[in-house]
Amino acid sequence: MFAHIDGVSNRFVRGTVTGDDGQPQLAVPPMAARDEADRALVIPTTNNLRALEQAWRAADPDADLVRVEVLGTVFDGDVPSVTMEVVAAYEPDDADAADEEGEADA
Amino acid sequence: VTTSLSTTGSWSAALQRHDPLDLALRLSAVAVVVTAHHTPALLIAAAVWTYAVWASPRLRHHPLTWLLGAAAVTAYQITSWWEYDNHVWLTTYWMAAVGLCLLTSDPRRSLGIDGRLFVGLIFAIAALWKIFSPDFRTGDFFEYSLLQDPRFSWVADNLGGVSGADAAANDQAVLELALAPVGTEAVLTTSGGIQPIAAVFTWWGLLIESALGVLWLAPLRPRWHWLRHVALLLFAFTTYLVVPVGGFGCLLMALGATQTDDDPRWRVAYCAGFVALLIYGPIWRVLFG
Repeated sequence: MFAHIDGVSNRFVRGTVTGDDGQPQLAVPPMAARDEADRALVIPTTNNLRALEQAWRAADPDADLVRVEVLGTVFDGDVPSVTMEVVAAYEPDDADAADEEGEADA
Repeated sequence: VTTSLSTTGSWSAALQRHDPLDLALRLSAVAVVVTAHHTPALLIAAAVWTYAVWASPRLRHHPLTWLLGAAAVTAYQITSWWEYDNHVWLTTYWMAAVGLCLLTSDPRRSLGIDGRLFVGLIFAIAALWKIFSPDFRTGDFFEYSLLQDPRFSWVADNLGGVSGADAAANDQAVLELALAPVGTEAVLTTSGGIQPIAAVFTWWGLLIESALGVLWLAPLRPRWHWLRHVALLLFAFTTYLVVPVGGFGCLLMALGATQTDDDPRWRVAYCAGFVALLIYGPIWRVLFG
């Protein structure tokens, strides 16, 4: 309790989707993926981020989701300024590519 | 006035005569309800369970009442374990500990040992976590919390000089970073009064929690036991005056009540603290929330 800034209340989950214009856009997870998003906030492992990505795709099949990530708050009391850093990220294409490489090696 | 004083005196005398084990069980049961207040279904179930525990001494002192209660709460919480704060889980652990203590041949002694270990370990681990967190040691954690956490807005506004509007704008600036490119910076509105308050919160937190860890884990001679009670009540008073966390505070009072075998006056103090926390939480929300 009250121990450090990097707590759940100071983390954010978001994703990168490809917009209609082909440009990447930042987006928040749909409500239907709230449980997966909350779990990823607490423990941002690859498995939890993958589960979030799958729930997000299921809730919004039209979204071209290319990345999900958990951000943590960084506070500099001298300024005082706030920035966000990436705590963990998951890119399904990378994972697919890694899986394909693994299959090819096998 | 005489009647009022007499009533207060009789309550105090009754509490001092009350079996400390029974009192700790009663307070623990109410702490379960207070902790469950965020979840309506759990709150209703906990309220029914607590009513039964208070109404029946047999149920209250039966280990299965507590063990099955702990199992039921765990089964409910485990499906969405990430939603529950650490003190909510702590209450569940305590229910299980009470059930196990009631299985022993000397439940009063067992509960006394467990209560002491709970308080000692809670605060020793909390103090270590803070000592090893650089952003806590530097005061950044409390400075940041004072600038944007709504729970600290009354202190930030009235003592620190950062208005509620500024704190809300700070909170909004941080939220906007969630959809901004990584590296984007938000500069928060602050004032010269914030850093000294953050320093006081930081060092008081480290001091009192370290002291609690040491005092409750160290094998003190009985004549020094009062130090444990003073430290715990001081922690509750100073912490929950600023940010009332009723469930955790009530659980701490119940844990403290397990240590009142040798001096019944502390039984009265813990009961007074328990009731004060129950009443103060809603008042705080109206006045400062």
